[in-house]
Amino acid sequence: MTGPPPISLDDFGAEVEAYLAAHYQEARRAERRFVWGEGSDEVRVFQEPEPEREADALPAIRAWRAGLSAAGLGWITGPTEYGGRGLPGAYQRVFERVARGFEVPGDGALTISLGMIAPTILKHGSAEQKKHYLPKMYAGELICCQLFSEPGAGSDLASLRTRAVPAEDGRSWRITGQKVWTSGAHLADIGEIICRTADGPRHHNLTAFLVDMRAPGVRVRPLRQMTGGASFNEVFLDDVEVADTARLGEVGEGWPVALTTLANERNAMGHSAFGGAGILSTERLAELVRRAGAADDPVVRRAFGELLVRLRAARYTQAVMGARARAGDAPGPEAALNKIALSDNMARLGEFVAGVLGPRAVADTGEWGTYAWTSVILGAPGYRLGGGTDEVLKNMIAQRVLGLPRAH
Amino acid sequence: MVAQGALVDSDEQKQLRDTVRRLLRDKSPLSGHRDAEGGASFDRDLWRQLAELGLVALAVPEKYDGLGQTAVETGVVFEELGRALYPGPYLSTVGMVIPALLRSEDESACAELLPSIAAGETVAALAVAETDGRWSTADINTKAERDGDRWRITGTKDIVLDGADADVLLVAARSADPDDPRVSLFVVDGDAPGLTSTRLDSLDLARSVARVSLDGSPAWLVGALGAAPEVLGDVLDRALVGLAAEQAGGAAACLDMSVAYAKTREQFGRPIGSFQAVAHKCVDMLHGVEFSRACARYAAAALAEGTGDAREAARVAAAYCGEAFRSIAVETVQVHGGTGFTWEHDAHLYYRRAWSAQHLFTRPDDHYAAIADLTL
Repeated sequence: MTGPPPISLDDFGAEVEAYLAAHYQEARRAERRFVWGEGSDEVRVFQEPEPEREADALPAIRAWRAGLSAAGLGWITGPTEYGGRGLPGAYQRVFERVARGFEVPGDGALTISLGMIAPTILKHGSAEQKKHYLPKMYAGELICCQLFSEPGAGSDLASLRTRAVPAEDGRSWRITGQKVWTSGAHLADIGEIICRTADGPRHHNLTAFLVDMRAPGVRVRPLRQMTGGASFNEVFLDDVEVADTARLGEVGEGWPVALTTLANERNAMGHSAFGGAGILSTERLAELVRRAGAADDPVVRRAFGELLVRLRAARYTQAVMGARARAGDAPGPEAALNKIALSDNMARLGEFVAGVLGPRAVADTGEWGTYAWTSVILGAPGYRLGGGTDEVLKNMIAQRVLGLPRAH
Repeated sequence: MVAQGALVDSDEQKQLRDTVRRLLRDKSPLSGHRDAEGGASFDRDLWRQLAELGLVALAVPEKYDGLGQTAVETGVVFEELGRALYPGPYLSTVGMVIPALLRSEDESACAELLPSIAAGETVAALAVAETDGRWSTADINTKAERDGDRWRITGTKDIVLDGADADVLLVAARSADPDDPRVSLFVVDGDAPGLTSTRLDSLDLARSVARVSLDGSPAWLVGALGAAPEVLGDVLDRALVGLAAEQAGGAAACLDMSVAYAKTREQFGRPIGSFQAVAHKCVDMLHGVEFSRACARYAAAALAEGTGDAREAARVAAAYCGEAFRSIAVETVQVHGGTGFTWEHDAHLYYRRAWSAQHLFTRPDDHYAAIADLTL
């Protein structure tokens, strides 16, 4: 960054405020406060929207992004040559603060597209690719999903077998294989896919592409998970053509591209709304204890205190790591600890709540704010697995942070 | 929530950290604790040296010859002292006595005591707990009787940190007047008549703990009569946050020791750190260290800024850092195998410190209860 930003934080805040006020309603304060028994008692652990609701929401999300981009607010910290505003991170935080005061669709559905894959393209893409993809992604024209895991390649991602074969003229490739655990594949316009392009050597035989999700030969099937919902997909690719201009990075050098996306994923997961205390307000948890008549039970009070310590510790750690990142220390692989804390806290939360609910965790009695918690119990195992299993992340941290030898 | 800037070391804080770390590495070797076996008093020269560097004066206001810094800066020092298992009276002085004097808002006591404490000339200790060792003003039986414009204190204080080395003691005692049995803080000279202090066998070889008996010892009231419960509630927050930083530092030392050993110790023809069972233990330790440091830092910043969640953050830090350090110290012995169970190895010094620290002032469960009290 050279020279001071051309606009002060206050002026920028006013600009954001003016734009949002012209296009969106102000958030009603009361709605943001928790009141027992009011509204939905849904405890949302995964993005598992009903298909119709999801399809309805998509145009609003695209319009929100398109409007922001046209107003110069689509990519506040992005380089100007790729359609960004070129402002420091403090401006992004001003935007987020102001936006909380309005009823906006938000970027929750675009975490993968903008939080994980756009930064990957920025790091590994050619200048032409950055010019082509990034403005469209931030404008909501292109939504991107992540095509990594396969039925035979989970923790050992580098053993994946989806193949990309180059055409004789070298101008295109043909992809055949199967991907799994792809969030939002049915809504995505493009997908970052890692394919095998040679037999060896390991970690130098993979290549990354940006594949058109609507190209002939791409078939997306929802994958129902143990919660009963379907927030993931299976994606089948049968001789799908992709242009060589959509190749991300060098041939055989797809592994570092994948690692960039995975690092962004862990970061996004650890920092997700309920990495810390979230998913619920502390008040809701406390009110549950009171209404269950357990507020005077010393055993429950102890367990409540212990749970709160874990949730707060995770929140403080996020605050400290966030502050470090803002001070210029890029988050290293130790950020994966946040994800491990998240999955641990989800499990603890489920145990605590079930302990308070007792038989009301067994069946839905219709009482507000009780059986709804079972989504935490059912969702918790997914958090230990997603974004790298806790075990494989520990291997990574052991090697890359502690410098221990490769584990067996 | 606290301001972001307070959560990372400034350049000055980094420098402070380095200075303390280097000084202790040279002047306070761990081997000293093994020889002391919890019996000997600390090195006064080194204490004065720490004071000359301004470490004791950090959080003393400038008008009392201090540096006017906050719990964040003392937190940096606590962490480094904890890493080195420094045995001197930093926790009792900086974590307890100085906050107690300041919180008492007693101008003359502050003016009289703080400059010489800050300069390292006077070592001061705070005596709250009695027979069960817990920090509770409700259970205080030590009596204070009025004697002209002074008082006379009679009773026994237990688990007094650095009590045997203190030049001055702050003692919590109850007015003997049955119509007004309030608890207040009093200053007593370390060599006052009727005062006997006995060094106790200490689980932590680097922590000096004493029983202090007083028999009509002359004393001066500090702050308002009956103010002790409120004052000591706030002081406990500060003591716990200082202790939490100390625990984070001790845990970090355990992690470093364990990782270094796991890289070099070979069994079955390869370094033990290449076995997941050992490697994952080390990662769990790192997890505890990172989160402990963050909790201690956040809580210190919350105290410094006086945020609404400061008391909760203090208890969170106390509970989290206490448990994390204890379990990390336990696993440090395990990673070192039989070597770690020997007297000559440093692991038990941290193991002793960790167990002792988690149970200082109160039972670990009391932290959970306190957090529940703040919310439920």
